[in-house]
Amino acid sequence: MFPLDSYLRRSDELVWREIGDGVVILTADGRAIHTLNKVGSAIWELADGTRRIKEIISLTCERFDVSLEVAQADVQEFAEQLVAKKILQIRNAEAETEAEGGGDDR
Amino acid sequence: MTVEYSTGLGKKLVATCIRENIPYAVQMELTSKCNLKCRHCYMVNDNDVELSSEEIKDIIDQLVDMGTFYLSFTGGEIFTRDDLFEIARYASRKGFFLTFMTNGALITAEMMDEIRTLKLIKFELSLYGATAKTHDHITRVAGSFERTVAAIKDLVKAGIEVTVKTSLMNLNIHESDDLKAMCEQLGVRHRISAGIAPMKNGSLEPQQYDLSFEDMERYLPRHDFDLSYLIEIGEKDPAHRFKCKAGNAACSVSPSGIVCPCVMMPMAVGNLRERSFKEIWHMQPSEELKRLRNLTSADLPVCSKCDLAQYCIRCPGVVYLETGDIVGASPSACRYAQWRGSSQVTVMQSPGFEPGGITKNQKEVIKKEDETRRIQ
Repeated sequence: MFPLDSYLRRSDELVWREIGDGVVILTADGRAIHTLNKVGSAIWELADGTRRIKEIISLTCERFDVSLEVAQADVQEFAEQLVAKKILQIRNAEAETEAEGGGDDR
Repeated sequence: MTVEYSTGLGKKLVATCIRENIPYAVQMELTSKCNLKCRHCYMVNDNDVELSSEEIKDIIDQLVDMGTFYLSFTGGEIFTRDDLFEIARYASRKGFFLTFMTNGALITAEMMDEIRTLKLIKFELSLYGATAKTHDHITRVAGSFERTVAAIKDLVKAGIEVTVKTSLMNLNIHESDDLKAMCEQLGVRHRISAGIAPMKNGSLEPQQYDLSFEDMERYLPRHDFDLSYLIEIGEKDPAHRFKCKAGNAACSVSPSGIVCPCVMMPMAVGNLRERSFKEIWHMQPSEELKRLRNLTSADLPVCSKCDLAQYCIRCPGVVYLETGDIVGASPSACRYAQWRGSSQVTVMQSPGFEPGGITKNQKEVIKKEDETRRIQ
């Protein structure tokens, strides 16, 4: 489980687009294509490097009208899966404070 | 609430893009200006009109919303634009798989630091000969071979993915083996294509350099052309055997902002200075675009009944340029199909078939010929 104060950021080594109801992610080697459903897509869009995990959990609660426990479990599981595949990056709060301009252009 | 996540949907994604008309691959012609004067070039001057940097950035923004993953910058020669890196940096920040299509002759070692900062960039460079004599004869610019090869070396050294592309013609076919060896030595992928397209204004002048039947017989079996994709289309979806992604999942933008189904198919379907991409592509597609999207093999009166269909790689763009008739037969494709038919180089699955489209028996014959020649 990642610390709630850490930041989630999409990797630079991929291209992603909203296609239909979800998000499609292509990795840099062009070999892997990942698709996210509506909930995954919402978390993905929030993971722009400017929000802490706890903020993403809170926004997910509001958007999908679920309990904090459910949102926390889902966001953490999602983050663990995608960080393991190097599609998402995790940065602790101190590192993010030192870095300038954590977010991307979209 | 569940978070669903799945992988390995490549074919499904492409099928979705074709079905939903999502232009996942777009070629932007940034300019029609060029530093070379290649004899076989299909490009025509786009009335000297070029989109400004800001207009191009606006189109890039629209392409993000349209679902484009692959964005290629081509020309003319893209390095003639002073704002190329400004445009590329912008596209890179927006997130695309970027390709620079270039002759490489204007690339310098000093540009490598800038190029390295671009995310997910790859280069495709045109090289037409294994010697300066042949390459420079085709480009009609002395010293171009030397500069292009230097650029390839600099890019490889900088860790950039490079593909060298060669159009085979009667001016360079004799060096095709040497080119292949040269690319191996340079450590780059080599992609060759046979067949010369007419110019975009319909002039057939470049086709004087296309291979003769004798050239095809003598040289082409040596090269691996991966035609395996045609096997699948031909067998699984014969109605779309002759269809490509142009107009559905792919398109091009001319230097002046005209949207076309493909760089090889200058069928204007809208002007981005007048309408948005979404209007042109989705909301109010032109009659020509709608017709192209709905074409099936049954609409091609000659090709659908042709005995050589299984040997044919019919490019809708080349047909359009050659005859002006999008449903007609392509004289150049017919010639190549005749050669494949007579050589039994089939694009359909058969015993001994290899992805290169050449049977194992033919490879054995070629190998023996080479060995004999070396002994002599």
